Amino acid sequence: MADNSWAIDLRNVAKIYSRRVHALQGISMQVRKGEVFGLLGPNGAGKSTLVKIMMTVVRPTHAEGQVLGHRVGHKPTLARIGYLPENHRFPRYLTGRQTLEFFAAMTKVDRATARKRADELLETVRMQEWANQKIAMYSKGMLQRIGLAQAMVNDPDLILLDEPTDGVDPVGRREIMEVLHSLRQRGKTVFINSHALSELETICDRVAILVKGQVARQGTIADLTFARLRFEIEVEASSHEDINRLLQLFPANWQESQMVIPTAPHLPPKAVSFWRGQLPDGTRAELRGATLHLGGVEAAGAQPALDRIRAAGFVVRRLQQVRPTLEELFMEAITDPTTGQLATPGAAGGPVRKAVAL
Amino acid sequence: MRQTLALLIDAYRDLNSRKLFWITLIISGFVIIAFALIGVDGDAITFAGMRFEMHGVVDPLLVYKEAILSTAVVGVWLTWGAIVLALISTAGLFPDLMSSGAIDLYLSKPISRTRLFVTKYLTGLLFVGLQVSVFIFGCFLVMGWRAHDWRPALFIAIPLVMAMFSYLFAFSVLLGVWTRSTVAAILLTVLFWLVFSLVQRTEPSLLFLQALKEQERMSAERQLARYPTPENKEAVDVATHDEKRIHMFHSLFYGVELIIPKTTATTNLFDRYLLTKEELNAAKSDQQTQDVNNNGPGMFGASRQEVNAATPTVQRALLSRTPFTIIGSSLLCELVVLLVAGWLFCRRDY
Repeated sequence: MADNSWAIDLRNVAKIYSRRVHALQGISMQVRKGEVFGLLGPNGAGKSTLVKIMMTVVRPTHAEGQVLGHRVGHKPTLARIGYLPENHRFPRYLTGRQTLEFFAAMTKVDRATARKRADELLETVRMQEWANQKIAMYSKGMLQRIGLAQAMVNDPDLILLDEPTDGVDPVGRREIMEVLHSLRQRGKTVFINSHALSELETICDRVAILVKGQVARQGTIADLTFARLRFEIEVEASSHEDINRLLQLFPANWQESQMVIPTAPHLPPKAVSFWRGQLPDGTRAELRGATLHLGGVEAAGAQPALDRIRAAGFVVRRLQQVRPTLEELFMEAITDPTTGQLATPGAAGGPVRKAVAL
Repeated sequence: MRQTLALLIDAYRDLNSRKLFWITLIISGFVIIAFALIGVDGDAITFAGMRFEMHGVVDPLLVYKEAILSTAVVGVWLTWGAIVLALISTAGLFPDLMSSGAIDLYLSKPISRTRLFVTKYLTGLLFVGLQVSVFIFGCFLVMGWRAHDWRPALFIAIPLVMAMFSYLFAFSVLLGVWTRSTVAAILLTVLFWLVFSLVQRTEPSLLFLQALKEQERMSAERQLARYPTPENKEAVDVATHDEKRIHMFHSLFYGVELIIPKTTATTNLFDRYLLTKEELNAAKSDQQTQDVNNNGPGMFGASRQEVNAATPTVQRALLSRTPFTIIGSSLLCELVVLLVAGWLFCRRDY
């Protein structure tokens, strides 16, 4: 029996290309009606393949579940879904208005309604002035705006957007985010594939992180980040001796490890060394540079550690309760915990592997 | 219906935006103007004000229709020039549709792949449909004005040329779907077309050769009956052997021709509809009179008499091939090609 509260309820979706490339390895994913859902993942993780399967562009090797209450691949249901593909190519000989009216007709919207909606949507995406110009003259940002309008032209219940802000300037991005907010307020379900993590963080109710065709994380941003809530105590410690004293201060099975941390958006992430261990009371602890991270600890729980540090003569420079960003969650999800290496781009090419434990 | 209509309007807009569509139409206009310079006036053919008297040797209207309209105007421009331009214009239809980012927009709509494929195919035929209709209508007006012969049968050229184009377009679609390359689709389709034309031109020649060899054998047999010498016996054996070999080759080509689209034969049907039976017979008798009066040598080692005896046999055999057989078998081939193309289009992931 289908649960009516799900707009998307996918189970065990798999796609194998050419009998060896496992683009999707048994994806299960639920999206509630009326929520904004973000799908993240590195290049080649299978995000677009998953969306294309829902939109019948790609045939799944195996798929169970439903989209808007109908089996995956049910063509008539597509009339209730809006879709903005990545790197879309609209017919260059059409104007913006003709494009909207044409794709409205393709979703069986009658002519009068299509014209009315085209006018409204051109205003929504601020393209009225360019409405009667040929698509061939549009910039990438303008194409993206028309693409977004196209995805809404049939007044869909579910909207799937693949990289909706790709190539759009900051003003345009903000406007697109406003459109998405208004869609949520109107009770529409929005499913976004994006690399723009900061944008997703502001708008998504729930996210899933896809790595090598498998769901590595899934849940609300609050749930995912709460599990990784930590308390940071930064002390004045610059020498190796200070670090060793700090390590000895807290009896734990310290192990030196490496982690990859994001840097500037245009720079590659870098690997840094850190110490990881577990305190006798079970608290997860990490020492990164001169900062002690205590996992899952509220302010009160951090006080004994703070007392011990101060008693040892260290000067406390900063105290902070930290909730990880979506970007940190993302980087953590795509990093192999044993090697500290980032997942290589692309789908899994070998035999199907078991899902990574969450 | 709303989707089909939208796709048709879209196809029209697409064609409208292509320069080649208008170039073809402009060239067609020039061909019609050139055709309008020629006329029939009593017993003469006129060209740009000049008169060429026929003196009762041939019917000027027959020359006008058969040699000028059917062979030059329709036969050369419409079935070669315009078709080549149409193939170039439409070859990109499916590769463009199937390009990444474009196909997603179509397949994500509530329209089945089969319907999308069929509708797109039909919109491709729209190109030739519009071009040929305008052109033939122009020819109809010019013929009525300049030759005083208002013949609605002229309009049969529209379905004939469209049928002929549709055979080639089916191959273009298959190659476009398979390779996703416009250039490959154009080049390979033209190559196929040349092969089809070669087969269609070789087969009647082999049929003619077979009829000649039959005449040779019959002559040799008559000679043997009259003079039963070993030389004559050998001549009969050689003629029989040659006839069998030619028959085998002809059967092979005929078999191939049966299954391939008959592009040339389809457009050649135009004569059957354009000319009345009397005109066709007159044309044939003119040809036969010329043959009989011609005392020169024969061909392929046969005597002139043998050639003259073989010609009607071949003409009868060719005329016995009905439009139903020619177009029907071609459409059957087209259907098979389209089924393969449609299957590839529908089963593919994009």
